[in-house]
Parts: sequence; C-alpha cells; structure tokens
Amino acid sequence: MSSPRKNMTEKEMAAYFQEHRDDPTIWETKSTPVESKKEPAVVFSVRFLPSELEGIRKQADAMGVTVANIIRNAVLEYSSNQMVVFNFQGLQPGITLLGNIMIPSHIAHHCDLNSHWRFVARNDLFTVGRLGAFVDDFSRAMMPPPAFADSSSDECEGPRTIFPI
Amino acid sequence: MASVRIQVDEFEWDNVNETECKYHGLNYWRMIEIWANRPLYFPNKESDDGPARRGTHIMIGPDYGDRFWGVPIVPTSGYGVWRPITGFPAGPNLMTMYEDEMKRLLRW
Repeated sequence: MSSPRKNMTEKEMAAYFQEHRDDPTIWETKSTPVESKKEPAVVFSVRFLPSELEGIRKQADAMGVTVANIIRNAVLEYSSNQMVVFNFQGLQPGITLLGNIMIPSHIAHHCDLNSHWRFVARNDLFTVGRLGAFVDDFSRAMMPPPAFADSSSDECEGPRTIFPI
Repeated sequence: MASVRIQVDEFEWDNVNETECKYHGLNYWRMIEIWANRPLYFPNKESDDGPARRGTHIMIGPDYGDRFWGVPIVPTSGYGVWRPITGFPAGPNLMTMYEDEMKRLLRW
C-alpha cells in the first residue's frame, strides 16, 4: 500500500487523494467520534499586506470592533449592497457607525423598531437561530434600539437590513 | 487504532482549496450540506511512511441531493476548523466502507 508522505504539499496531497479516491485501504475502517456545533460556518482566508492589515486594525480599534468584524461587515456590504449607515445621536459630528444591531432576514419581514422606522429584509443572508426571536428580544440581548439622528424626517425609503458590529 | 473524538465546526477555505474542490464539483455550500447530514469521519491509516499530515480524515456523507461525497480534510490551527484538501463523489468502495460503519454504529 502506498501512503501519502509527510512532506507532501497540499497540491500533492490533493493529487494523491484523487488518485486513491475509491481506495478504502488508506483509511481506518472505524470512524472517529465527532462533535459539532449546531450552526455551520465557513472560514475563508484572505491575504493582506501587513500595511493594509495595520490600516484595518487601526480603524477597527477606533471603532471599538474587531478586525474580523470590520472585514466581515465590509465584505457583506460590498456583496449585498444593503448596509445602512446611520448617524447616532450623542456622537461627534462626522463619526458614523455601521449600525449596532442586526435584524436577521428571517425575522425582519415587518419589524417596527419604533414608531418611525420599519425594516424589511430583502434576502436570506442571515439566520437567527442562535440570536433569539424577534427584534425586541434581540435588541434586549444586545442593546436598546438605536436613536437615529433624524428619525422624524428621514423616512425609511425601502427594504433594509442592518448588520451587527 | 483508538479513535480520538474530534470537533468539526467550521471549514477553512481560500483560493487554493476552493479552486481544487470546485474543479471536482465541491463547493462550500455542498460542504455544509454534507456536514449538516452528519457524515462519518474516517482517520487516515498509519503506515511506515506515516500519514500525509497528522489528523487527516476523510469525511463521507450525502449532500442534500443524496449524492455521497468523500472529502479529505486536515485540521488547522483553529479549534474545530478543518481544511478540505479535495473532494470527489464517493465510489463503490467508499460507499461500502461508509455503509459497513453505519451498520456497526447502529448496532450499538
């Protein structure tokens, strides 16, 4: 029986496993006990130059969020084009936050956040299983709903999704 | 060989393994389908040469279309995070291995 070598590159390993794709002799016959979380996730690696990452880190520090959060939200904003940027009361002029709550699409079909705002999700980007139930529950778990800088005059024009920081 | 319990929560992708797997019809959506269908994980067999990488397993199970896949995975530095190396539809021998093990587990 041939065996993959320890010093194989990933490409060589892939070729080896493809070559032995229906060869059960390279695997144990008894499976390994496994534990898993209920919600699956995908980790996708992205390469940055150190200088690029440092810039992101500084911005994350300034916003009080993690690098992972800022990257994730930026990519989701880019891919979905549904990020809403709100100005929050009590913040200095010019400082914006990318929302501080999320209304997952499965529960956000018609959520009245307050008397002035209605949010309607447009797609199924998020699930809510581990986050709780409706927006009130979620808001209680995270923080109160945000106060908008000009909620009286700036009507929500259409479907929107808010993402968490 | 004694089996050590493993944690499989997430899969690591980048351009390299995504391209490799996609070439064989596997993407991360399908990977999640297989994962959600409670696949079996078989460790690679020790030999004189040793395994390709410590902890390498093959994940065998069906996707949501009931098509069975074999996906060699290796552990990463992240707890519960595994990296798919490649993937392929399970052939008859892998299917037999899977079914035999399922029968054994169901007898318990």
